[in-house]
Amino acid sequence: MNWASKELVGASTAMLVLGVLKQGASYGYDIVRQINEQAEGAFTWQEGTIYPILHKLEKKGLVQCRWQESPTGRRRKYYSLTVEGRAALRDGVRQWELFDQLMIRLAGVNHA
Amino acid sequence: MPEQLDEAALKQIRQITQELARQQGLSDDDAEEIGGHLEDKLLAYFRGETRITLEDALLLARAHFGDVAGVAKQVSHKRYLPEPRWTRHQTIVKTAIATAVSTFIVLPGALLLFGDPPRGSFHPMLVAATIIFAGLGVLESGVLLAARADLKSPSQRLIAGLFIVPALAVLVMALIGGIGAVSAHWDMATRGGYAMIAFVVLVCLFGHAMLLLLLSHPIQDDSTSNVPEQQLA
Repeated sequence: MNWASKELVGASTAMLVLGVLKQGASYGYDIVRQINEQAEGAFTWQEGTIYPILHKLEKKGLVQCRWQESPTGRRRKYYSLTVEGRAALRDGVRQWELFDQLMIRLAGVNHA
Repeated sequence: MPEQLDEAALKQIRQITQELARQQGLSDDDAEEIGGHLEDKLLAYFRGETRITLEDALLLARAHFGDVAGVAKQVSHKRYLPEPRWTRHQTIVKTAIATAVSTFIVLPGALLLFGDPPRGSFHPMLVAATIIFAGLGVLESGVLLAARADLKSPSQRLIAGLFIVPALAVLVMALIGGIGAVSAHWDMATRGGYAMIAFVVLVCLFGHAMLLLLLSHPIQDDSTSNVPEQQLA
């Protein structure tokens, strides 16, 4: 059962994708698979939505892509982080941490 | 479990991506990327790597079941209801025809039997007959229009009613005039003739009253048979 609100997921999509790509280059299907797997039911991405996000990140220069042939002979478009992408991810993580602390202070969020 | 999709599956995926590319104006690269995604997804299902969700399973179950609405209609309790002998539309048409035939044949016939032969200028009998035919023309137009009207449509019922109601008034007035025309020589008329005119008047009024009643009480369209097509075949 999905429990994360659409707004919350929507605000974190770029970060999630960048986070996956931090582990290494990957392609659209595999990125969605990893995110849905890690989410453990918190939300489920509609798979097609990954491509507009990836293309947007590519335009911003945060990711780069290359076509690569798979062992079965099929071509896949692999995405990987650029230097700017790594910096954006670090900055984003920092923002989330600060926001998390703010939520603990103001909204009484208790991790314990 | 297949490691690769067969040519038929690949062909279908190519068709989907080509259609998408055409509709959305995608570049060849984008179309290839989306096609690759679909291939990965299909393979993951075949290999059991992706578990089918409840939504997926429901879609599949429904797709494999076939025409759910059609089957539901066949097994519905409605199939056991007796089929109405006549539909509402047929009832109106038959009543309209019976009423039209009775008025067009019997009424002028009765007037001819009991009227005077024309003398000189316009005979009251001729005037009465003309008025009657004019009234009947309007009346039967309304009746037949009502028979063909969409009974669910208030406007169409109203139009049909607008033909019928004034025509009924004309008919009654013409009948009174006709009786007046023949009453000058009433001594020639028999009790049977008078009873015949009275009977015709009653039949006409009853028939048209029945039509008005049918038109004023719209019911669910029963012109569609509730018997499955397979049973009718």
